Amino acid sequence: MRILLTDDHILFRKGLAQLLDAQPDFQVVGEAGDGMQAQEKARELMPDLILMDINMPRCDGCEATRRIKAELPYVLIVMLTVSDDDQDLFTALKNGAQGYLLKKMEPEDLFAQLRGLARGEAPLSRLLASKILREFSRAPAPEREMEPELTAREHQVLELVARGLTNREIADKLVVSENTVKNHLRNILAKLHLENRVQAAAYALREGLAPLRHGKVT
Amino acid sequence: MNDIQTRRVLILCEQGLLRSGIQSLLASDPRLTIVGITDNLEDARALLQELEPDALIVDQAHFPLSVHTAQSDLQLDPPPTLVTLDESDNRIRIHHIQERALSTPNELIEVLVT
Repeated sequence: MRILLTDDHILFRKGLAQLLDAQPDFQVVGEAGDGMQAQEKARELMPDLILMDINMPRCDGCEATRRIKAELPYVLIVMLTVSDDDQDLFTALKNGAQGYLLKKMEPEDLFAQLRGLARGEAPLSRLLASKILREFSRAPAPEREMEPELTAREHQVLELVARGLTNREIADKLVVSENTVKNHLRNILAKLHLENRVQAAAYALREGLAPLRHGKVT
Repeated sequence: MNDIQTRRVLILCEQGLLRSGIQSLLASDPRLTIVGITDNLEDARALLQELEPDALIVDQAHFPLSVHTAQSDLQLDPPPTLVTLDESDNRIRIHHIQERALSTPNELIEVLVT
């Protein structure tokens, strides 16, 4: 995975670059110190993934995410920040970020989250995931238009996604392979015109297709 | 016989990624030895007393001045060089007196080895 690092803190950026480059499946192809540089470097380097800080000079990470996603929609962007502020979280996701991680995490956790991203999962700390679910479950259900035609199995997968399970956990629950779950998820995203599992979970809750509940799915 | 004197460094930093990143950057310099690494002040106090490092690197945002106080309380002789990192403006402070802008990790290393 080719990665562009965007962070104005030099020691953090250089240290993280060294940690990522030591992994066999990650390669840091460029670095940027603010959002404007990130946009230029993204255009020039076409990375697979941008790790994006939020608080930066000239152009912050949320605005840079909006601009880059408008120009290069297939570049994945994951926020990597000290901010657990709701406003930053929702602005970043609204602007197209695929994930939101906090800098206090350990390197191994970051690597695992990024590898999950390559498998179609959304890097998100559990605390922030619960914030998202709470926020969307509070929102009033909009007027329903065309009911998307999800199969019964897709409904099950969507419900488990909304409950925060990983693809592996869903596969175990439904006694299918992880690849099968990924395919279901791709179909769900395509049918609902969504970009990632976070949006799918939010959609499910908003539409009442997968209310939060406890207990086993049969 | 290896007569190179290395500077022994202790790192106190709350953020896991920054802590490990600094450790990785410093570990590549043969003039430095990372003797300890921690994310909390209590452990840092114990490690300071036990290891008597030559230098202590502190993430200023999470441990403002408290380390300086702890260091004074311990009355280490000689006291380690205290280097605080300020993430907001890429500056380091040495013993809360000298202040330097940081544009590369090597500048931090040079402060630690001199």
